[in-house]
Amino acid sequence: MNLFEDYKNVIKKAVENDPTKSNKIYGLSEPMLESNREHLKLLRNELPGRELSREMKLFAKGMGVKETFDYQPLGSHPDFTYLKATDLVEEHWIISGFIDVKKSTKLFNNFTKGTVRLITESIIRASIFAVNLCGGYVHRIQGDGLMVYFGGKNIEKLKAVEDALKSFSMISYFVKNDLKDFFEDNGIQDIHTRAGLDLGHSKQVDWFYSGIGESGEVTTCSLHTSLAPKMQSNAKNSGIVVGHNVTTQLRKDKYFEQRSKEIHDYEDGRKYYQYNFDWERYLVDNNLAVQNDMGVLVLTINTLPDPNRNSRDLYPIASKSKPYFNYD
Amino acid sequence: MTKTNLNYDIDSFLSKYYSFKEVDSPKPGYLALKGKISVLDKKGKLWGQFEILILINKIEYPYTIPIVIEKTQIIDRDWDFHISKEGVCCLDIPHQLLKRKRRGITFEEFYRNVIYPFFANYHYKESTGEYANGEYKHHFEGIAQFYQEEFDLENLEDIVALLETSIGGIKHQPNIECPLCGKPKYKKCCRKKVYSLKGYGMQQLKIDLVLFRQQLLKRKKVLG
Repeated sequence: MNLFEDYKNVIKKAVENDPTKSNKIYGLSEPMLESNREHLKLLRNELPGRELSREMKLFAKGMGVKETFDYQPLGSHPDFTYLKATDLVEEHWIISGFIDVKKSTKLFNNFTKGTVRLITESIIRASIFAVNLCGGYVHRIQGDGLMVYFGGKNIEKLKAVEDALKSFSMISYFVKNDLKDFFEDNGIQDIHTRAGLDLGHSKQVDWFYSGIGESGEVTTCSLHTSLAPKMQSNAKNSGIVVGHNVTTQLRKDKYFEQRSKEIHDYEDGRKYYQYNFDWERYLVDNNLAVQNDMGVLVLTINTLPDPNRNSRDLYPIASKSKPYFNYD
Repeated sequence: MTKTNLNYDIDSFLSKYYSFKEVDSPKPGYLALKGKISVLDKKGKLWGQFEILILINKIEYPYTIPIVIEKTQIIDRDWDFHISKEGVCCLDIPHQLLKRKRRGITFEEFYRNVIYPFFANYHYKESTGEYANGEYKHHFEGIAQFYQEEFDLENLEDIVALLETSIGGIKHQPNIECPLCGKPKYKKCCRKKVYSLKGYGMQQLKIDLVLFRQQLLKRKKVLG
């Protein structure tokens, strides 16, 4: 099952039809750019919007989520909108997450800005889908990155942690497995995501309205919200770094490798540590992915045979085997 | 091949294939891995899953062939599916496995190129009615088929002569008429086969020689 197939196809078509490469010597004329703009306009309509594709619906159903979920508006977490334009403050736990695509500026060297815009939008839309699929809430879009909250008033903390890890794992999967090779084939090296996630407990998080009048947003003030982007910047290529509070919720050491350097020093003898999260193992263990003969992950929500499979595609692997029987 | 560290190879495998884990071995002296194989084709389409147990001889590794047992019982315990009543999978003709054993295996390579394809091939057969690359017949017929396909030899006398030459270390002049099949030059004909046979090990060749001689004897009796 290719959950992100529609997003990938749009990116593929945009790249394949980009006029930059074939006109590198003489440059791009305005008619060429206009034709490219028209093409991209049509292509944009192929991106999944509110209506989910068949595979996305199947995946949502498998995760126990409604097949038509409402995308939440950005900027105000729905459980704390009452704080808008007030002086009120509420303490409530939240998981803050930051994820973005690194080396994406290289795209501008190879494609028109229209193509780059559509690539970025495809990745952002796929990410918003993955966040909403897992019950998260996109707080802010920053270029090709997202700031996200997981949690709220009607959800268990552990469940929210699991949802956050699943969501960021899926986004990391999309860029690493569906896009990276494709970009490399088209001369763009080393495109990858980096992500950071941390949990602030209720005594560690203030929800409040930051700004003046309409020029503001309901947001959090927390060491752990501030640490999440620092963790993101510390992540390896395609990596997710999480804070200690996340690891204590999950209590499964096999997914977390403590990094040698702490992410925060309280300067009273205590230190707060960060961990590399093994998201690929987490996806497989949670039945969200399976692995092929080479160990490469494929997202899946059930273990039923794919109805569209074709023996031609199995032949290259199956033909390595020629069985024999010699038992009595 | 130098002796490699089994634990290192297994750790490396487990760090990459997440649905496997090391478990207590039911067979003393063996390391046991239990896990799930998901058969995916080249387009990433899922065909099915099998729970399997893999047993690896700790002392002999890497000069060993892992034992693979299908635990889910998805594959019928029928010899047409090359599996024993206990679920032990007959992964390949012994000769090919022996060749691997003598060279030494790395477990991950063996998983990719022998274990995984065996289960993919099961689905291929379920889908198309036949194995992707054919199959060996059962028992002696399969051995004879192997010699025919690998060495282009059908005549039992020729096979026995080839085995006797290989086992006995008999050396023939390279430019003489081939004493095994009668073609003009030995060096361009059966000499390569004699050398190639050695890769399967003396023990297997002696077993084969006995089998082929018995077949010859049977045939002579029938012919009277």
